[in-house]
Amino acid sequence: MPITPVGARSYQDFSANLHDRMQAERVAASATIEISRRCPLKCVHCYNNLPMGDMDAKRGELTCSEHCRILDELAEAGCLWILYTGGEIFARKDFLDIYTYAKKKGFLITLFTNGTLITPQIADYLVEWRPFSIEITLYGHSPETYERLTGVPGSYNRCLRAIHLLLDRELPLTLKSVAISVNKHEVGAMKKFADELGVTFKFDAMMSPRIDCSQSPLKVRLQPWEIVKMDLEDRDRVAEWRKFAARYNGQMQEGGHSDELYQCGGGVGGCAIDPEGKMSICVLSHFEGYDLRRGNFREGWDLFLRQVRAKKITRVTKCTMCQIKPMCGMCPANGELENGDPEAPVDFLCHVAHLRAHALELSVPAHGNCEYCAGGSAYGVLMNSAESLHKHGSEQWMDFTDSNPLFPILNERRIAVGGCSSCGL
Amino acid sequence: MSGKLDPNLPLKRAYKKPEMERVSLRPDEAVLGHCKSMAAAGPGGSSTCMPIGSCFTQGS
Repeated sequence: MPITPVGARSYQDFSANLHDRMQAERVAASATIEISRRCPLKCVHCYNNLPMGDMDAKRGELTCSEHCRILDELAEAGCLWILYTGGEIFARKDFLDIYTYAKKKGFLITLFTNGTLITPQIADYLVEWRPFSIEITLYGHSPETYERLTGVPGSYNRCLRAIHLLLDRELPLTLKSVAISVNKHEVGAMKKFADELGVTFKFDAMMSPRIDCSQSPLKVRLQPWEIVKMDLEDRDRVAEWRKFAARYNGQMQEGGHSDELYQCGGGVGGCAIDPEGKMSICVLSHFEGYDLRRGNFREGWDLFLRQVRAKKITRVTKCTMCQIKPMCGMCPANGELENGDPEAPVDFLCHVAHLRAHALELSVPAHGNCEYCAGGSAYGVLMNSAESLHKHGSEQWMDFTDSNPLFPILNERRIAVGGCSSCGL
Repeated sequence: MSGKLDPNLPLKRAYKKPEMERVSLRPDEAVLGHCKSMAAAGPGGSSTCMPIGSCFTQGS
């Protein structure tokens, strides 16, 4: 007998409620699945891409049937949301077979793609099997900047074509970008482009080293003052940061710091699965993994990830009692990638968080031996920069070079000298 | 049969007839964000590994 709906509920309400309930019981509500690390682009900032023709990588990827088996196990474990990402998802010719299987299982699926391999046939297929959301990364507004970043001639036009193919079919598209030294001057133009299309746009400036230990992305990472300036240029962004800080900052109680190593949702609300079937706490964390080819999702989630998630800190650092930690993004995965140590504070993140907080005139209580706090070695420099940003930060972006007179003492470019431990070198 | 409840048996929940609610899948209403988009659009857009105990996929 068919059941008639008794009412309607907003997706926001449905999602928030379900996440709360699932998290309380440690149900894996979501999974991020990296289909392949292979990609047709050669982006200078990327943390994990490999060439399309990398046969070793291709041979090591999970087969379609392995993906389907894992999807069965995820569904049985209660998972609802799946993110497919890469590399590039369409680098695999059988991606739509995997995707269709996942759609038939009932997952709510988000696709991350650079768009350059999307054809009209693929777009038509996605109309028939509609994803929950698609995100395309824009690397620049002009072909010159876009292709300077991607390293592939013609990629700009292919990306634009994909955007129009998807929008013409009214597919749920979001545009986003990474703000790095190569394209920072076009972030505003990209936003305007997205606005003209009626599409949401967001950007991210927080680059991590590559998971193969290369620090190359850090060479194009913006400096902390550049990142905070981009915040200040956007009133909506400033308002969101203030709201965020009001809600999440200042939660550390005196003498009551958490002894948990992981304080995110990894291993509680979700997990990541890499192209070879290794399950980990998140896409950036490669320190420990569970091989889904040898075991099953239930065992990996209930035993392995539970143990990883339960790890305790081994020492108190300046991060332990930091009251602006929510604004920082420091986490074990970032610690591993930048310093080879999940607990070692990442200087770059600390610098950005403190500068952002001061530029927004937020309270930054003392929290231990921190060079960016009062009495610390970099405090004076930081406060000068914060003052300059506070006065001039909302002015539109000019060609800020390293010798800009507004920020003469913040041209120090720190590159992480530690290594990650993902390959054991 | 004594008629008394066995204290070892779990109490049953009262039966509630299943009801179906319709939910429109609107990604713009997604409450949580992505690990791969750290701090994108500031914290309110699609923030990531937030210290509220959750690291979520986009649009969830």
